[in-house]
Amino acid sequence: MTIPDRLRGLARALALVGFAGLLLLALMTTLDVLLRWLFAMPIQGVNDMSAVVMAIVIAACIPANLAFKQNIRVEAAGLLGGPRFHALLEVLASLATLVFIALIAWQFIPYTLSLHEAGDRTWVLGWVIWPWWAVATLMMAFGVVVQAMTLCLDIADLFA
Amino acid sequence: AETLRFSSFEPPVAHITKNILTPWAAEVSAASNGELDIQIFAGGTLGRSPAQQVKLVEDGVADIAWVIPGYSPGRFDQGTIAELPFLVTTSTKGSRAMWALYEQGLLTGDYDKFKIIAVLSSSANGIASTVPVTQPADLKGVKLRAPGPTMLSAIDALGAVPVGGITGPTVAESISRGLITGTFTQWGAIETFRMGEVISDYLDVPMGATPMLVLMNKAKYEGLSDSAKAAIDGLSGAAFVERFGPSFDQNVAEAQGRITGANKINAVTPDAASAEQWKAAVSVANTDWIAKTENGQAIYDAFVAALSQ
Amino acid sequence: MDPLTLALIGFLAMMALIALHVPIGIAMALVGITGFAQIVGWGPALSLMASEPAAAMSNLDLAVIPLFMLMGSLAAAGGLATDVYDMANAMIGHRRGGLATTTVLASAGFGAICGSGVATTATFGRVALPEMLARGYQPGLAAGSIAAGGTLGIIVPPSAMMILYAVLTEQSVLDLFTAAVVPAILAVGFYFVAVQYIVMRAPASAPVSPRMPIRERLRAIARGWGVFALAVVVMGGIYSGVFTVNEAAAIGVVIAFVFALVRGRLTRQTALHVLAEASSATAMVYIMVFGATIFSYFIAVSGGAAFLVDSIAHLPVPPVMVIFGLLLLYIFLGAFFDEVAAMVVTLPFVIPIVTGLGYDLVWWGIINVVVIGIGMLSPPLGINVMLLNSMHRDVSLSTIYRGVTPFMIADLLRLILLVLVPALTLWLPSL
Ligand code: NA
Ligand code: NA
Repeated sequence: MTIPDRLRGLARALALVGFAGLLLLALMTTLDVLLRWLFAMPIQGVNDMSAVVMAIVIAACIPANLAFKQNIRVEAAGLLGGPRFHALLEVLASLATLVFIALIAWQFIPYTLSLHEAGDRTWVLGWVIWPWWAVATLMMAFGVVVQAMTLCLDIADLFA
Repeated sequence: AETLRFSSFEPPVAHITKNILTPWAAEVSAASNGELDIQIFAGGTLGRSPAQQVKLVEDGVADIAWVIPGYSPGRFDQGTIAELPFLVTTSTKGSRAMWALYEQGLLTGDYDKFKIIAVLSSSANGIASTVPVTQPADLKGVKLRAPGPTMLSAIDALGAVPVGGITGPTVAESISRGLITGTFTQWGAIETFRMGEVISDYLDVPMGATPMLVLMNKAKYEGLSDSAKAAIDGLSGAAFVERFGPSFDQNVAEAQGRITGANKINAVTPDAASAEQWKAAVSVANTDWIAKTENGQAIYDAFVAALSQ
Repeated sequence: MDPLTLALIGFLAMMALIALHVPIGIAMALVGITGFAQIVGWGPALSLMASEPAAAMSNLDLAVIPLFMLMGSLAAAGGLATDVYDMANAMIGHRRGGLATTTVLASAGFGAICGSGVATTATFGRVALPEMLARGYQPGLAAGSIAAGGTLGIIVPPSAMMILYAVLTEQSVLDLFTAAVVPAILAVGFYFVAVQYIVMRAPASAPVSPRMPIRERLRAIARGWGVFALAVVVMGGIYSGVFTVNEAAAIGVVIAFVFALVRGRLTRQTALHVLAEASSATAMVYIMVFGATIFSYFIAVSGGAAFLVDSIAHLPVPPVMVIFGLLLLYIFLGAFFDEVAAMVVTLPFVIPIVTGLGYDLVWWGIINVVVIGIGMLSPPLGINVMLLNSMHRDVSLSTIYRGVTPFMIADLLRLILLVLVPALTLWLPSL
């Protein structure tokens, strides 16, 4: 397996794990509703958990989204030129995407640190929230790696 | 003029933003003799989520913000004292007492990271519901919107069922659809969130108030000229509190008139004996708060003293 | 620089980046922070790249989207779409044009448990198109009814588009779902009429199928209960107030999961496919939201939106003309732009205009979703049409575009009706 294949595989695996987590969250919410409805005994703090777990679920989807270029695009300019021009546009789009994800990953670091310093907690359960955002930051950083690879491949295509 | 961005997540027509924050901004701008131009960004145009407002000031996206610290648990925790039952009654008294705590140096930690323009409190929340509630036993098994963690032990003690995840804008539909039977709130919020048509009963017991803050970015403040600082300081602190509390209370009273005039709501004020019953039923919240808050007893005593002035 | 000029340059720069193939959410975010930085400085502007994504990622309203995506994927994997199609077929398949009507009805039924238009189209492209072609349906009508039926995925609640709109404009998701009920029924009714019109004009396009033996019909109808169970629990639970929208979505995921599991449809392979499908759709929506909020803050700080509202408020035309003007703009943008993107990109300008004219934002949300539905069919960039063509290469794009034309005319008539009679939308939520 080539390195790009491995990175893509890893990105996809991350997204799958994230969504498996979402399935678990759905199970817990269902249990909470059933307990509240049948026995008037809800589980304390399901919303707390939802908010922090959702952050990780979403972050986990992003590297795969970048690896497989699944964002909504309008391929208007491509109609004007040939395959070479198309490849150039592809490089431009990938570069913009790299800047985007790199800015997010970079800014997530001070964001997480500020949560750590300020000691932000979840509402009911009082969990510290910075470790969850630290994990999300790692996933965004992995997104940068994946996108850098995508950009390299696009540049290679341009000169192929 | 130096432009200062003042963020409010409330719509521009809402009472606090329209009648308190906006005139305040204009008066400070005027007092600075053209040195400052404080612009209001209402309706969340700089940051939509109420929970984000502190961060906006820290990051410098906004220079000043109106903040509900309850949305940032773990920060400003000493101020949650206002959320305790049977302490705050009116916003006028509650805000004065909160400001007194700040002036006595009892609110520390995150408070020190900002230029504090004001420390405030709403008036007390009563119990709005779709079933008659007059004594503590009436809440047994009743589904209540879960307020902040401060009141959770009291809700438990009452045998009520807290339902989480209900935000202000969804509270009316949650009541009308029976997801919750009641909520701790006051007439101003009943009007803002259009609960008047969906509730049938209101019990005027002080089940805690909502603390609020007006924060300014400290570095920004310190970078201003002395005359600009003086313009802000002259209208901050006690001056802000005196502008805020009476206006808040007046709005609550007027809202009550409008709502009870337009809807059939059975509003009850409990007599002294049943008020005592309520106080005993929820006192666990107060003892819990003192136990788990650093310096809790001292803050509590100072707050009670300030309220009784 | 004058902030208004800055806003204009920002808007043009964003359009240019989008035309140059930069993903829409990303173009909005990059232009948004660059513009924001010109007004408030780079430090605060860059902080938005963390605080806005973080706010979206912990927003529980938005969290409904991944849940509904997952529910729809699981339901399709569990065979619920096939069941609802068989059931509709058993009831009306033997009438002239019956299979096309079946497709519309089944799409609406599936739409009641799936929040995505593309997923609905893809599902019935698999289930219904081979069936209709085998029975001698003219490919245009067959593909047209599926592409049009697919739009019901976002028009019948639950709908990812309505959630997205509700979050970006701070409206109640439940209000939008409630408001959508009458327009959704109208959509199905108008499509029925469109099918009847087509088969009246060209009877050969839709041969009459033989009536199924009564036993088989009953069996097919009985098998369709799964979709109803899911729709009743999820939407019934929301409307009746047993649980919140978030809880309903979570419960829907669990039920759909159990269905797929019990029916033995959830192999390792399909499970992986379902998770991947839902997660990619989710990431797409969130990246769009990141960009849209950052861009809208830039527009707010620049004063561009306020200026536009002011100018339009002083135009000497009645408000309804402004609304029709906006709709024409959207349909025009939809020719070379994705409609969802058109909505998201223009919201920071359009929402103040709509409220300034005194219109209701819930109503405008439904109108927006209907326009997005039309955009999913309209050439040259009709996503449903292109999707079907990619699934069945032997049915050409031009055949499908011709096939959807009567349905699009039905859509336009419905749109005009909804604009002229806001009560059709707003009556139910006001109860
Ligand atoms: Na739907
Ligand atoms: Na289109």
